[in-house]
Amino acid sequence: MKLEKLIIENFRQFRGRQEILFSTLDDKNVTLVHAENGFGKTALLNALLWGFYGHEGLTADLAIKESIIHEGFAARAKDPARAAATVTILFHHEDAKYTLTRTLGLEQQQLDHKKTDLTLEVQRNDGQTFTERVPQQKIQALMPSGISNLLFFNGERIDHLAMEENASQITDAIRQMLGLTLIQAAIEDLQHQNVRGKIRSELRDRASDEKAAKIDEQASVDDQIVECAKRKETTQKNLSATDVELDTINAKLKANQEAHQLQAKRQLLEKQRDGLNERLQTVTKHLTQLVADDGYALFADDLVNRGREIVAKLRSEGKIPARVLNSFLHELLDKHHCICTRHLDDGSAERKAVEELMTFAGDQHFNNAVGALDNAIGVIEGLVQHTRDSLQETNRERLKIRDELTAIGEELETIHQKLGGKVDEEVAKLEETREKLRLRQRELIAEQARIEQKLEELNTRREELREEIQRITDSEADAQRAQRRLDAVEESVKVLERILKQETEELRPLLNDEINSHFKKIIDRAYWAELSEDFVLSIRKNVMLESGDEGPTTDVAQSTGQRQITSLVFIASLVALARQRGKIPTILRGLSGAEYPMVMDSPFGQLSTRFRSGVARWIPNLAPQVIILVSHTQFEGPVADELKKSKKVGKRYYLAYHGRELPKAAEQELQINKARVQVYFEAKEEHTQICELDA
Amino acid sequence: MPDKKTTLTRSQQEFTKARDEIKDLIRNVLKEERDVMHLRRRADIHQKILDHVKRIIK
Repeated sequence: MKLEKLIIENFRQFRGRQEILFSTLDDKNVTLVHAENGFGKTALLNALLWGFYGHEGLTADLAIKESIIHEGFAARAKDPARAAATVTILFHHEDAKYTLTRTLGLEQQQLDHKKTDLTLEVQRNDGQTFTERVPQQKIQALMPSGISNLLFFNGERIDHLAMEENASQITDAIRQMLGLTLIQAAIEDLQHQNVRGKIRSELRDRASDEKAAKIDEQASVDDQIVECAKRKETTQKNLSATDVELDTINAKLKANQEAHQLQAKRQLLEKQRDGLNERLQTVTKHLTQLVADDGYALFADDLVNRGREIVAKLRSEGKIPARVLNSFLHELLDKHHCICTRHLDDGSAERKAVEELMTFAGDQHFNNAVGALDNAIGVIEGLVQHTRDSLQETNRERLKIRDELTAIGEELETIHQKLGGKVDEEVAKLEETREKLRLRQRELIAEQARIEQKLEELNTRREELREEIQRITDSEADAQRAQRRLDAVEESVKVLERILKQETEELRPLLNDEINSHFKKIIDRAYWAELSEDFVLSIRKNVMLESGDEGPTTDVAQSTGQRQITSLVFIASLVALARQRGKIPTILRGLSGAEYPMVMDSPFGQLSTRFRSGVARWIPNLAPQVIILVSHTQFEGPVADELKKSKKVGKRYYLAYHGRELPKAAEQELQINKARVQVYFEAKEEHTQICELDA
Repeated sequence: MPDKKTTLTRSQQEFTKARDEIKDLIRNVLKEERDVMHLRRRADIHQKILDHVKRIIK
């Protein structure tokens, strides 16, 4: 199927007649619609869905579904019988062209907005033209509504497919898209009250009392099985919903715990900062004191050296006394005996030498003064070194404290930034909700286990009864025949159940090959996507061992963006397999491949910039025809670059919004491709216009 | 030429193993289902299936 043209008249916020021509070329298969958030992307997606499927097709996120006709237009309508909203879709599929028109009049909207008028004109390639008698049925045959949510979707909301609890949706999607729902329908219809029930009644009427009683019991067991299966499904849904709620609470709690941890860390850091500030003050004070007391010593080097030089010079010139005291020399001369054992006899040369020494040696007081000067110079020399060392050490400490303070300051700022972005929530309240949910989860798991146990017992009993009923030979030929018919129905159901399971499983490796080939086009890491045996979509990787060898494989924890990619890849793979459906072996005969377009609202929404270019590069190959509705924040950058490089964009439009206020975060003007366009216009009545641009 | 049986899928083998009258019944039921698969109202389907059961199992 390829969409050719969409004409919207007074549908939702599209006032008057608006139209889009979709690109139908194979090598330019992308139609881009640029629209700011709040300008009508979702309404546009819903125009297509409403056109094909009416009210039932509308997406869950579309508000006020009963209001289909443009509000202003409806309010001004003088004749409600003539005012209407209309969506016309022109498309071709295989050997025919179709024009679909769905209309809802104002009168009808007020009575029952779900009841619409639909016409489907068909023009076959052989020239035959006719109007379909049952148009909705034909549309269902061309594109079953069950697969529409896989082909027309909001990209920001498809990540659920890659959640473990939604594995059943994956099997449903596989069966829907690849035609296996036919087998499921056959199973259900064979088990229906009007088929199996009737045959059983027939048998009962003709059987013995003993057998009739067993048949009644079997019917009762069947009813209980149906009831249990329903309860199991409800419990499973409740459990999934509880799991989702728990995940949300856990995420909030984690965010709050993080906030608490950050707050505790901030307090600790602030305490450390205060201590360091005090220490810095003390050290600075000490440094100041040191400079004040001994700072001069640092400048005394020259002075000391000069003092030393002067003393040495005067001593060598004999202008200051020698270090030998005169009183000591007097003692030696009086004793006539030197300490070197020589005699100092009168007139001897030795005595004369000592007497000469007397000339140099000063008196006691002068000598003491010179000694003190010498000592003082030595003390100053020692002080210089000590002061220098003390100053260096104290300054080092001061700088270290300042570095630590800077680091603490930076950490505190980071914490402030982190905490500033958090929503303050009562942890205790969250914890209480979490506890309630956890208990509810336990209850549901226990209930599920009880139901499963009960189902097992019922199925065993059912089988026993079937065998017992079979063993009781009927006397009447009619009863025997009814028994054979009942057996045939039961056997057919079992064979079909096994076939359905096997066919679904046999499609898994084919899907996995497709999924992986698509996935590798987007993500270049050593990851691969996989559909597990129990139909859970996951991203996997090899664990690297310390030896550098590849170890076992494991799941990669997926972000919302990654789940979105995995889901997109899964849908793309299903679309690809649907195309080749005719070549895939099945017991169902005559299944032919079908081409479908894909219409995506905001497919880049949850993706990080890292993945956007990969997805944008791959998206034109997603389906034979791709229609993308995108806001400028999602488009600019890698998406725009990749789509430009692909040269696959065949048609390009933008939505211009007229309203009282510019929606939040929307731009008034946009630079699209090479054109600068005004996309917002102030107006009293809200409406959206579809405008074309060069591709 | 490879043996045809070896090329059958598991589900085809499963179908082949079934008794002839079961195969016949399944074929007919699936054919009926295909005719009405896109109909919202499938009022006759149960009667048609019942008729097939009665016709095949005499």
